Amino acid sequence: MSTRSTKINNWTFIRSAEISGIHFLVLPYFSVPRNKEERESFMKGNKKSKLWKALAQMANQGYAHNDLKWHHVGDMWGATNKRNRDGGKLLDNNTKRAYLFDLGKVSNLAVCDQEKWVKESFEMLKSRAGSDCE
Amino acid sequence: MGGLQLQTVNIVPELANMDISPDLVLPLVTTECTPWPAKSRKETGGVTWKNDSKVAGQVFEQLSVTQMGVGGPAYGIVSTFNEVRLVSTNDFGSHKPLVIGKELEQSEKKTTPDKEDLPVFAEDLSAASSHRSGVKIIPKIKKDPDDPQMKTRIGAIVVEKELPRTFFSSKVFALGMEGDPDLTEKNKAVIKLLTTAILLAQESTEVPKTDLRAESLKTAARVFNSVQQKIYPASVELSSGIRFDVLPTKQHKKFYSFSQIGCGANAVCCLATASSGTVCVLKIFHQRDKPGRELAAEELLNWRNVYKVHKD
Repeated sequence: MSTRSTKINNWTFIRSAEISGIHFLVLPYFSVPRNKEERESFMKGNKKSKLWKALAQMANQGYAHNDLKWHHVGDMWGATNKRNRDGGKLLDNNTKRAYLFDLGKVSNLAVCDQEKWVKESFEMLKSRAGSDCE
Repeated sequence: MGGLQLQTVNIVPELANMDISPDLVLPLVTTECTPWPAKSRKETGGVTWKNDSKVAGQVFEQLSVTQMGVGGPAYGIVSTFNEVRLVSTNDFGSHKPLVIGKELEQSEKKTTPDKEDLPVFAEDLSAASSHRSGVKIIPKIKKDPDDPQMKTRIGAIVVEKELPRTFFSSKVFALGMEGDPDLTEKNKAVIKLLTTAILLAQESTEVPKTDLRAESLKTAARVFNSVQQKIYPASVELSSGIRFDVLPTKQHKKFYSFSQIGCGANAVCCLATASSGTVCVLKIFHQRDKPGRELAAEELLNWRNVYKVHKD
């Protein structure tokens, strides 16, 4: 498994906040694949696919997603170095990357289990790509 | 209103909730009341919910939030232990004769809760006041010939206005109690009212939803204002629509929540923007105070660990 750095400098806006006792997180928006065709595009290329890379990214950090389903997979454009007037990073729609989200339930993953988890998760999602539910 | 306590069990419906496709969504708001009155009508001086600004504000809040999730007007049922009424953001209009005909007297029951006492939540009465931000025009950005993707040279113009704090109500229908000579007739009327609510709600979902990807967007939103420490509904106009091509920054303290996009055991996720119109998601935890804080902190830590997000 690759151990390359996965720092995402553009997500500094992620934070928790509280208003009148109500707690919320400010998180990035991901576009979720809604049908079989879109899901297959995430899996195209198997180990080179967007989905595999997203799973590997998480595993490389030593974490496993414990509530993995298609609802919790999405993609977003990569950030450019350009900013708008408000200071927000402009995104490039030619470089979409996949991410796993809804990280309320994650667990630690030993290095020796990382590749196995990625493979099994990929296969599990692949088997459910045509499902209406997950 | 003495003795009345509200417990909200509202579930905001979501028609485009990821890829779940329900057969029918009822955009109803249910506001449960404990048996009322805890004190007798005599003791409370004959006060009823309809002239209580706390309850009226709560109903308005729930209706306005529900309306964000559906295409058409929102409908709700407000009940005490022996009374039921139908409320809506709509004046019921042509639907009046649908089932119960003349029994709906909503046009004379227009309810405008006291603005100053309008609560965002039943137990949070300080959260209401008028909110208005002026037009914010951001100077033109110098054109970049190497950036063909950049559609607009002008930043988002966001206008926030107070929503009209009005909703409509049907007359009150009393439930027949045991021993009541009119028990059957009373309960028939209540059943008709409930049926009407379901039919109206079903029609409401057939109205096309607001296209949140429109290039120019004007819609209702729930504002999360960390500076003022307030959550309130507002009408929001984004001249450039939701900016899906820009990330928010850590400086943003005010967010507009437009639509629920996911609902889980611990939280709901809403499509939102920062005050600049840049897209984000607000994950709002069901549990308040300490349990909610702990869940939020735990997940935030996971985001930072998994994606190595910088804190600063």
